Amino acid sequence: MKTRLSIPLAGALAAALLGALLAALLSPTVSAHHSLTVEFDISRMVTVSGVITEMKWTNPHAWLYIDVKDEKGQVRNWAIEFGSPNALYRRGWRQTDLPPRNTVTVTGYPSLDQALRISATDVKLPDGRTLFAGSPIGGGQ
Amino acid sequence: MFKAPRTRDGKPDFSGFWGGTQAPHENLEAHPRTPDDNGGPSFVVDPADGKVPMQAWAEVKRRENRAKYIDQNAQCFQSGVPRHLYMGQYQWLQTPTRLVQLSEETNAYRNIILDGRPHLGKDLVVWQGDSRGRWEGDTLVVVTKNQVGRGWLDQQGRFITDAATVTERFTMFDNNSILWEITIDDPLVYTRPFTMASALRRNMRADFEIWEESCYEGEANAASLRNLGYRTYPGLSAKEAQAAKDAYERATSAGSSR
Repeated sequence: MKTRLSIPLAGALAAALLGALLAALLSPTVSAHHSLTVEFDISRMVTVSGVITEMKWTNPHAWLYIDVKDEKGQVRNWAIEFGSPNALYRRGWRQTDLPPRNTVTVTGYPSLDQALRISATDVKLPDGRTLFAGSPIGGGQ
Repeated sequence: MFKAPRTRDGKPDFSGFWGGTQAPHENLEAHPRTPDDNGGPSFVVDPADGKVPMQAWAEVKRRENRAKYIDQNAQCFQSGVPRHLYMGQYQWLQTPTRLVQLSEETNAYRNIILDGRPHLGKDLVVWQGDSRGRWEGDTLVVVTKNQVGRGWLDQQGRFITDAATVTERFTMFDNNSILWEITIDDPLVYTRPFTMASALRRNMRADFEIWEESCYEGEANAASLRNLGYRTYPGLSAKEAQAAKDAYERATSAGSSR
């Protein structure tokens, strides 16, 4: 049966399709299921190093908790937000990558409410590998 | 002329794994790439300028939404139609009487009924709406009503009421691509019906599967956002939209007559 389109494949529709197909071909799939600018300060990045206390593979975001020593020597527990467990798994992450008591270095965007919370962009693992964090900013899903 | 693969009953076969190709969830209109956004061209193809034809009061409301309320996706609510197909991974299952669209995100599904029965009455409104489909040649035309009116169309706070009618047209134009056209008709919110279009692409990864995403289990963003002053979006019924529109028009009319 003949295919009929409601709008001729010309003009704006053709442009939209071309844009969509080029986007699919040229750029990686990057999607955040909600905007992070309302929660994180994307104008600056921070890097912290600390000892892993726990990794939670929960939806919609996995969370890593690390003990970080501040400039006064006080240890405080930071929460690091990643993408979804499914996204991490598809990127090759495994639960054994972040074992407790190991030290990691995390880079990401700090929380707007001054909480000890970061939306991570990448993580340097105990074995020296750096993994893309699958953060909501830049590819949570 | 391309001829789509067929089901046993001779209809185009949409079964398989699909994904979106644009980022309209960030903004229906053209927007730049930023650390938070992929950016991309406008999703809107009619009007030709690519702008969403918001009524003046609705544009004010959209800005209020963005400034005060939490996007429903951050709280793991269903995305609604058409937003649930904007992003993520999908598996579509097709029978002669159903097209079921399974979404990994939030474990959402949409059950599009193809057997010709009428829409539900107005008493039951649901997040994913009530979708009924029919074939026009090789195009599947799906009309969705009865959405709950609590969902945004994008992260900019563009919204629909429970009176919205969404008409989608799905047309396969090669074995791995579907043209997806969406017309939104919500006369209290928009100056006229507008149409968006994009391509859905088949997921070609070998042995691909979709997996559970139990979104509520670790949802923590809403609490942070409440600390920053945001609240759960309460939605807007058609009745409430009418009242808001009337109030806005009275206020602007009074202001202009002074």
